[in-house]
Amino acid sequence: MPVDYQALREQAITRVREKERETRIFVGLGTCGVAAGARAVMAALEDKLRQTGVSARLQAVGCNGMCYQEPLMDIAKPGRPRISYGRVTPQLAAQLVDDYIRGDDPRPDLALGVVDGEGYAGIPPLSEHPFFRGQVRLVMRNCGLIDPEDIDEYIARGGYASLHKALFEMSPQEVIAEVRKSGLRGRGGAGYPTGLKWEGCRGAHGSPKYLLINGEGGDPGAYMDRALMDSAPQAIIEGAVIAAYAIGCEQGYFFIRAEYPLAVERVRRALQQAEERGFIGDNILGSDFSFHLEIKRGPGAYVTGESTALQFVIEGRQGTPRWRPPHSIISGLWAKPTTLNNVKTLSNVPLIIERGGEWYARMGTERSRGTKVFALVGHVQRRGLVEFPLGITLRELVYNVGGGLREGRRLKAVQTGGPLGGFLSEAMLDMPVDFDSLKGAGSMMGSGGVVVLDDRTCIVKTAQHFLNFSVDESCGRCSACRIGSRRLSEILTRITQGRGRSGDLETMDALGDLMNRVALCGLGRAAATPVLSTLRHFRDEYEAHIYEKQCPAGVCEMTGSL
Amino acid sequence: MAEHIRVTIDGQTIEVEEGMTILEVARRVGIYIPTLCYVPRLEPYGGCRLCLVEVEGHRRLETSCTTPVVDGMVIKTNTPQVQETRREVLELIISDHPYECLICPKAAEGNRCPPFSVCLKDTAVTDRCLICPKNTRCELQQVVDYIGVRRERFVGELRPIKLERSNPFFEYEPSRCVLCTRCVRICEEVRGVGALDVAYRGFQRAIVTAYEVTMPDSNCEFCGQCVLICPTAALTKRSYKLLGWPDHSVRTVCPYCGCGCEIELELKGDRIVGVTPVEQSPVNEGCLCVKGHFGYDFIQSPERLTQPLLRRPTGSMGPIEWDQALDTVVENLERVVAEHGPDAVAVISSAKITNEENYLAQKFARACLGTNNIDQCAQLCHAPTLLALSSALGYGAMTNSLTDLQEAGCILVIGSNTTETHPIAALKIKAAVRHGARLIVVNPRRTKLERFAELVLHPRPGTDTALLAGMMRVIMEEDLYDGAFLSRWCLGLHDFVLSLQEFDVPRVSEITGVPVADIVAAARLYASGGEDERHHLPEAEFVHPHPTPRKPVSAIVYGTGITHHHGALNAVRALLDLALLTGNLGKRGAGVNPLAGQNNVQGACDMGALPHFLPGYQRLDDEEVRTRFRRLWGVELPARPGRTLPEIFEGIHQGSIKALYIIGANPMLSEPDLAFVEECLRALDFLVVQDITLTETARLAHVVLPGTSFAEKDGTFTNTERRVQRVRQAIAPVGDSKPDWWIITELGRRFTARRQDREPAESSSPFGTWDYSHPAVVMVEIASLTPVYEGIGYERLEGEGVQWPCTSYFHPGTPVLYREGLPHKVRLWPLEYAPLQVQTSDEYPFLLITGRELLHYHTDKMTCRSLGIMEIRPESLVEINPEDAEALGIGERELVRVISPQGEVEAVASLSDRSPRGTVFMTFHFEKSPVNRLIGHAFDALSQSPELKACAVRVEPVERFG
Repeated sequence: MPVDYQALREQAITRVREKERETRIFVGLGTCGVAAGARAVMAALEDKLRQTGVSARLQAVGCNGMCYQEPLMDIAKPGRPRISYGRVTPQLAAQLVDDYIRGDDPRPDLALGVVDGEGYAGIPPLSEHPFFRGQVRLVMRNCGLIDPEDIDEYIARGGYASLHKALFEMSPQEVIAEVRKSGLRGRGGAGYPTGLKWEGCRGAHGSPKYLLINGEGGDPGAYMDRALMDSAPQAIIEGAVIAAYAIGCEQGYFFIRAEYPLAVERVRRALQQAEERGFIGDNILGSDFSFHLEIKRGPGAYVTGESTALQFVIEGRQGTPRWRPPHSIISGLWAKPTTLNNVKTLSNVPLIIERGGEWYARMGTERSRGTKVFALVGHVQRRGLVEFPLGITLRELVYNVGGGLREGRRLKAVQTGGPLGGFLSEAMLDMPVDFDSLKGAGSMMGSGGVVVLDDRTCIVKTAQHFLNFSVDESCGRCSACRIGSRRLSEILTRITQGRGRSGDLETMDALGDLMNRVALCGLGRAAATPVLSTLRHFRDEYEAHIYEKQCPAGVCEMTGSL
Repeated sequence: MAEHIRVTIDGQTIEVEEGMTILEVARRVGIYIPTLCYVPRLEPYGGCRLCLVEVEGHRRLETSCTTPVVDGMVIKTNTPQVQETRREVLELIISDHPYECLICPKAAEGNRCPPFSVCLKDTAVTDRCLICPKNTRCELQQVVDYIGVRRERFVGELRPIKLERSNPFFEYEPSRCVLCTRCVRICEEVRGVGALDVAYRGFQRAIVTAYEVTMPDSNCEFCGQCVLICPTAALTKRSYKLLGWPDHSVRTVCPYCGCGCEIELELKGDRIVGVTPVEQSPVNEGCLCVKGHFGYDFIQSPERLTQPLLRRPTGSMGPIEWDQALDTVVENLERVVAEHGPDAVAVISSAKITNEENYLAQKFARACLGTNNIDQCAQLCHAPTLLALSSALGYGAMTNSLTDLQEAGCILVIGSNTTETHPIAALKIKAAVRHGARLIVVNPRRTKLERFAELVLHPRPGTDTALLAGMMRVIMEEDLYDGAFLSRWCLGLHDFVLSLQEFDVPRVSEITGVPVADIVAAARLYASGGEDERHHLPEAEFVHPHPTPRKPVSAIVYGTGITHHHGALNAVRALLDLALLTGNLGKRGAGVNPLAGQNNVQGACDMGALPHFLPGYQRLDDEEVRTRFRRLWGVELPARPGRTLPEIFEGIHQGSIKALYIIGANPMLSEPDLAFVEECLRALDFLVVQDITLTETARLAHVVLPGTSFAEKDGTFTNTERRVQRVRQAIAPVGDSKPDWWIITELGRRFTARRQDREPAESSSPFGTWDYSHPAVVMVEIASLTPVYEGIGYERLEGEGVQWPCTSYFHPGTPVLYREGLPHKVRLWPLEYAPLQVQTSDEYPFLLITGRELLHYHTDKMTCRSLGIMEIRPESLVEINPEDAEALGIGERELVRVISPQGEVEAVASLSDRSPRGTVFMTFHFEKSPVNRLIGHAFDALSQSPELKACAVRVEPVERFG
């Protein structure tokens, strides 16, 4: 017998309402918040509440994306809107308890905005904050708002309605059709159409089939995967169960980078709660469909986010990528048909089911539908995670959202796509950001990292910095990547020390091109991208290092030239 | 059947099977594609990136080793773009290799510098191929020569030289490693050991042992397979370094266990410098174990006997000339025959010498001495098999072949520590498991094979028959038997079923200590031929993701765990019953397969070096046979059956046997109850010992005749799967030693000549004279007197050998016996279980199990001459369960004394849970710890096999002074 979803939701809403009867203080305890000192804020608040005897519920939430304002803290008094404050110190937190909770001054001077609804007491809505203006928050719809450790909050906001709909109103084929209609492409970076992948896996010969959820998310500077797991794990799980239903698989593995302990813990709790409520397990919500999901922690290597390497890790082998074909949807985990989806991809799925593929496809560009979460970092004023329809220009991201560069600095380059992505010059700022445009410009979408670099950055040194990530993370299985990335790095070291030679640029071009053509996996193929793209757009800076023994940005010490 | 598809490769359109890779297709049509990481027998790896080819419609170049062909694929393997890309990859690879010679212009002309030449480029010595041990044999050089690299583009840091030489057999030099991981993969995929793996990332990647311990501390088994497969000089044999590279090699057969691996003895002049396996051999398929690969120091050991020795009246021994030695032997044997009759003399032959020599030995005993008192050490391990199988089926040998094991759906290994005693047979079992067969391992001790097993049963020692009875009871009760086979071929079902009555499964479980569920599961798995529902995967990593579909047949493999017991014959018959019940005979992948312990156990028995059988298991009392022998040999055969090995010693003890001729046997170490054996040997009137070193037994002899090792003579060995293989002379006999066939021939010739003088025979029969010029001539005689060898002659043995029965020159040999049906109906043997005769007591609380280990072989005359093996395992170990050891206050590597009612020995303790509580395990290899001193006098009443696998002992720590 199907479980009555409405009843479930009513219960959840009741329980959440219960919470809302008292004053609530929300502290952003995502990994980013913790790093910025949110735990100290939390402790200060606890002290303060105890000392003053103020009755208020302290609640940990995830990150809403405003990383540059961390630690973040919201206060919601009964019957009043929820007001957000940024860069909260323990002192400030205590002050706010005094001013707003004990007194009644919401301190408009300190507030960032009103989280839900209209302005209040002179505080504008948060959605009108330059950082949020124009954002379309689908994947991040709940980030920073709900308690990631309380499934009721997710259900109260409509969570798992899509699962119920998929299970009882749609056939697996219809689910796939809807996702195909949406035009959703894999958000892990490769951009493979998700519906097509599911369809291929569903039709592949062999059983059981497996679903793998990729929470490796190891791109330095692009941490939205972690933020999603920290802040809104339930949407990923819901998306996963829908995917499993569509594919026809009963066992999944949620692969999470072990260096994200908070994410592991949050997902673990979310899974436990989802199981308790019958969203995961045998006969989900009273249907015939069963799906089990197990957490696997990554062994601490970036390359294990690659699909075949990830499978080997789950099988208990060394996490190095293998050659293809066969593709995973034909023969993946334990040689069975396997689908690997990124956490961001799966977070989109419940919305697509709820509102329809056509609705989703209306956003974005012709070949890149929907929204994308970007990690806007580097030398911009406002840094953090933002979500926009694909097709937004880099200029909008850098200047409108990011608030431009710091006083007196000029933009030099924007690096996109994580450590395997490329550098774009200022001339390319008006390019729409989508899978294909970035690729065409010699970079890539990747996880969605956008690193803004100003004129004090040495492009050679920065390229080497990105390359060295791949040198360190290369598994070493194939000779192209193992030796090639190392040789590239050696040449860059020489150049930045003033020992560059004529011919170095040609060698790097050839080597980078070779790696791109013959390396075994995506990492090896793209490892040289930072170098190749800078050679393409910033060749003069290399030449200055080599021939004039000068670093235009004044960063490199050029000791070798003496 | 795989589907056929059409592909076009370099303009040539061919039809191939679906599932082949581009590289396989290219190799089939003879197109060379350079590779480093690819080896046909291993899973593709795709690491070196050299085998790139162009595929029409593909954006990228594809690695041909990993890309399967699809219908209509158009492949180009040799376009300029392909070659240029390969060249660039190769430039990268050699940029991380001592590479100067590889880009030398001289090499472009196909020249490599000769030894001692000065480098014109003034290159550092460590960068030069010239000093590399793999120079001119290096696959990297070959690839460079093919592709052609003349420029240095990607110059950079090289990995440092870091020589790892912790083991005596081979060295690892990582700076020469190209990280193709062939060593890692073969260690796991073929050897099933997994001693090596790759560690670290990127440029730091390296081949290491687990936890980077030294090789001797790792789980390495020193088979040397990694060295053989290494394309460069990263892994090299130390012997080549010390003794030089071979200038030629001789194909022959390994002298160790009964697997009969074919080897190339590599020689530099007359010096053996190394051994490599024969790739094409169906037996070992390019594999060897540590003994077969590295254990050859004994051949040219200084301890070899180089001239005959005679005991002087003073008691000391001194060298004499061959003529004198031979005459002394003949005179003394003749004297004893004359004084006490022919049965006062006995000959102990050997399972280590060739077929021809065994044939001559039994001919010498029967035709010259006139006695059937001829036996050899196969009696100690093979007799129950021989009796049980030959009486029931006709042939006392493995019914199937080693390669055949790979076809089984289920393999039951019982009483065999196969990975250690028959390492290459174990490889076949592992390969079968890897490709989908299911394995049941039954052994009181924990063995390495368990890692591959789905079901592991640990019965109490000596309870195998009861266990098998329990399994058969399940098979009968659950109707899992093969009814059609039973009604066609079996008799005595009623009595058999009656005998099962006392073996209800709970009772069997009580006797054996094996849980009821396991007995039932084993019965079902075996009876279903591996089609029973799977319990669990043995080891996910080892099992191939795409197993080959298998036929529902089950094979039984057993070893001395079954035969070294007083109830041995019953146990073998129980195994046969099990095969009969389920119809697992006469099919590929099935059968009852005893593993022979020594290289020529099978051959020695085939040749009639047995007291009850003539060559080819012909009966002594068969008048037709006797007539045939009389006609060809020209003498009347003795009619009275001879004495078995234990009976010979019994005879000496009673005084009825006065003279003994021992060829290549060392009963002073290998026989049970050594004190008794010594007493017997000392009591003899005349003892001749023919061996290659002065063994414990030879020291008691009156005359010692120096024989030769397998490397110094021609002949044939018959391996455990009945395969007759050629042994070829590689070096001249050491010193003044002589091939054993020559010695026996000389004795026979002299004996016959003297008789001829005394009583001239009227007509000379064809084989009456002893004038064999070469073992090939002996084989002609064997073929004419031995039906199962009738079609075998040296000219047929140049390739992979022939498996008997081979009854005519055109007969292809018989890999699987009874494929056309059994010779006659077989009576099922009613089961009988008798508990161990040996009982532990308060005084002797432990049960001693004896056996072999991987590194050593039989008595210590061969492996203990190997410096390398002795470095790894220099002494005998007493394996004892850690809990027992703790109770006794014995620590790891402490000296202990093992005491039985018969005697005591000292050895070093090794704490291991491979031995279950209450048992200890020792090997019988070492002169220093002669474990057979402990063993009692229990023999299988029916087959005379000794109970070497059970002896009550106690263990005490030895107080050391200081």
